[in-house]
Amino acid sequence: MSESITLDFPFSVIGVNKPAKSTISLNNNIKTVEDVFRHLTRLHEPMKNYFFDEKGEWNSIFNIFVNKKSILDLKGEKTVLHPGDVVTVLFPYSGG
Amino acid sequence: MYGWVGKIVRVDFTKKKITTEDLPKDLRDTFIGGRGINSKILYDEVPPNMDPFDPQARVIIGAGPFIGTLVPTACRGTITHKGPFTFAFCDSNFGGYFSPEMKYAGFDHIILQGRSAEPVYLWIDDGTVEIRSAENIWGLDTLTAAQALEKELEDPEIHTMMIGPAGENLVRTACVMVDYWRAAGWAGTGAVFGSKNLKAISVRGTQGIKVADPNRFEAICKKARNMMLHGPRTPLYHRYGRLSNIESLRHRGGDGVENYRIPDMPESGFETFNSENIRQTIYTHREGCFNCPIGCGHCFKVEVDGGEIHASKIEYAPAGDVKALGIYNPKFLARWVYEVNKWGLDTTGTQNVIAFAMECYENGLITDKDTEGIELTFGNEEATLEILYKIVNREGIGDILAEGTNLAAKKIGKGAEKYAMTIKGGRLHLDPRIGWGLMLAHAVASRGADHLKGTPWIEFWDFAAIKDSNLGERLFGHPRAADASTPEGKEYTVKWYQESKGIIDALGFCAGQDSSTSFDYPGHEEMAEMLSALVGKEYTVEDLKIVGERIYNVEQAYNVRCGLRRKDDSIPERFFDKDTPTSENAKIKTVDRKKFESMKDKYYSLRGWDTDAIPTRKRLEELGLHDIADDLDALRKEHV
Repeated sequence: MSESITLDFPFSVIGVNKPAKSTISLNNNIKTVEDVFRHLTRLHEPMKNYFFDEKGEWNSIFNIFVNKKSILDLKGEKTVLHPGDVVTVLFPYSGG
Repeated sequence: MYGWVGKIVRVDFTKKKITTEDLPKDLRDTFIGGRGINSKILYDEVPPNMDPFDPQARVIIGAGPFIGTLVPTACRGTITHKGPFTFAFCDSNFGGYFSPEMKYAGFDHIILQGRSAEPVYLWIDDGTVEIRSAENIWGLDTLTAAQALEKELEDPEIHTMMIGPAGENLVRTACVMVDYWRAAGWAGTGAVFGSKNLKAISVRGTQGIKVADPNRFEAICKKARNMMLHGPRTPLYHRYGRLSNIESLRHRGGDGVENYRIPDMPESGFETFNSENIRQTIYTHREGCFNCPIGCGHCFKVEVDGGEIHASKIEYAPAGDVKALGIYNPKFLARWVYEVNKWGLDTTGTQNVIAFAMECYENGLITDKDTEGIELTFGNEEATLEILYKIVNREGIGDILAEGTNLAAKKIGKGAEKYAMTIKGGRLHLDPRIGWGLMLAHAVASRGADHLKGTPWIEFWDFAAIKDSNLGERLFGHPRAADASTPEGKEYTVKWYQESKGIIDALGFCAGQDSSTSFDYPGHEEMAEMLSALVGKEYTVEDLKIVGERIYNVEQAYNVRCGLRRKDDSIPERFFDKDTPTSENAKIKTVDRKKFESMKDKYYSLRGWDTDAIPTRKRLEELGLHDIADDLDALRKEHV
């Protein structure tokens, strides 16, 4: 079993030049959904405003799913990730 | 006068008579403009028992006070008439450049009535209005005819709304194409134009719109523009337009495949039919409507007759339509959009009737003999286009399908109604099981099966609910109002969103870029400030909400007079049936009928309507709609 998770997110939408799907290794510092995005925003500064407020508190403007389940129905940003999980980042549905 | 031009032009094609009227102050005060004034004119001038194709039936085109000004996105016009497939209130909202040009030419509203003896088009040139022969363009597709008009009028700057052969042939799902690639699609407007022998309206204007307080107006417009430019959704619109709804809906169990009989697109389909791959396969560039800082219109390339044509514009709607036909091919999506636009058909209305026919065919209600050998199965691209051409030309079975889904179901008989995915005759665009609020909004919408008149988008904002567990209570006064998984509190959110959309449509703002779709975009406060600065009269948020409520009540009252009641506020039976497959991702599996009806009861009660969805005298009088209260009282007495 891989010790990593897959992040499915069109990075180019927020100006980060990365492929749509990335693999991220889980470790002692990266255990939850929030940890994943803290890690990513350290690597890619332009992402910060999309996930955290000015005080560094969680403030995502995306809907986030783990294995197709909304984190609203799990433990929110504190949802613990497991190897092989797929984290999907989406804008909410609107309009026609 | 500020904001409004102050004029209505009325064209009677039977009498070949053109008159101009002042836009009455009481209409401006009570309904603001656009959809609001249109709806009241429809109520006043089109008797509820009149056929939509009757020569005296009206078509009202309205451009609200924001249109043509500095207000960002202020281009959205509304066309209102009795619906040729709903047989009740119907309207359609459109973007592009036509509506600003109409105001620059001197008119807030155009009222069309009568029927010309021969094909005509209307030429509006800076206040001068002429009925001209359309002999040379009748029968042409929308693209060819629009080019021909530009040549005839010797002006590439004109803006035109145009019907295609579908509208000429009274196909009930025909649309009006605006500026080549924008559509007033929803309402069957193309057929109503066709019933008047009206091919097109071209307009050119050079006049301005007066602003009461230019400094204040410029400041608030600049603020609104910056909110949109820096809004969090803006990069997404730039990259995908509305196509990213494919993924969002998939994660809600809202793929709506094969006439909604299958809830999820197969994985193999999603591998090709996802927003990024569609972009990679057919996208060329972006275009925007008048004064829009977003530019969500995604243009594309399409293969036709061995060559490549560049066309515009892909929305989520046609992508959803192609899925509903069981097709997951980006190149076919491009071809579908090109064909429906060219022939002047509404994408979703046409998909709805073809998907209905496919399900009838697969269940033996339509045979090979009926289709003249066309194998009308889901996923068959060639058959889809063949049947589309038959609908446009009313050939063979196309003549039945051209009547729209409900009338076609009646003609086919044999229980075909159960495959009609419609509400009040209007075509379904989404699986209603993705949220209780969306379901209620679809059921009670004034034009039926409508995701655009009051869907509470907030029930899809999981991110907001995670941050604020009190979101529903804080914004709508009910703790569960923003929760898609329960019917509780949905009367509050649906009423709020319906009225918000009424305000937006009356002003002429774009519903895709206001705070109902993203907190960070301009909201009611900015709308009230922009309107006050523009017209020189102070409007509060509460004033606007009352206008929104008034508009919704006028439309409901018209529908009541057309015979619609509580029983018509429903969803297709398929969704109440426990044997209908459901998505693992859906918030709602089989819809509980008791909960659904109870949700409606609460909605009617909050609106001040009786249990049969008829607005009460008390509420109508509170809204100042005394004439309508009298009409509905008279109706009640007739039925005692």
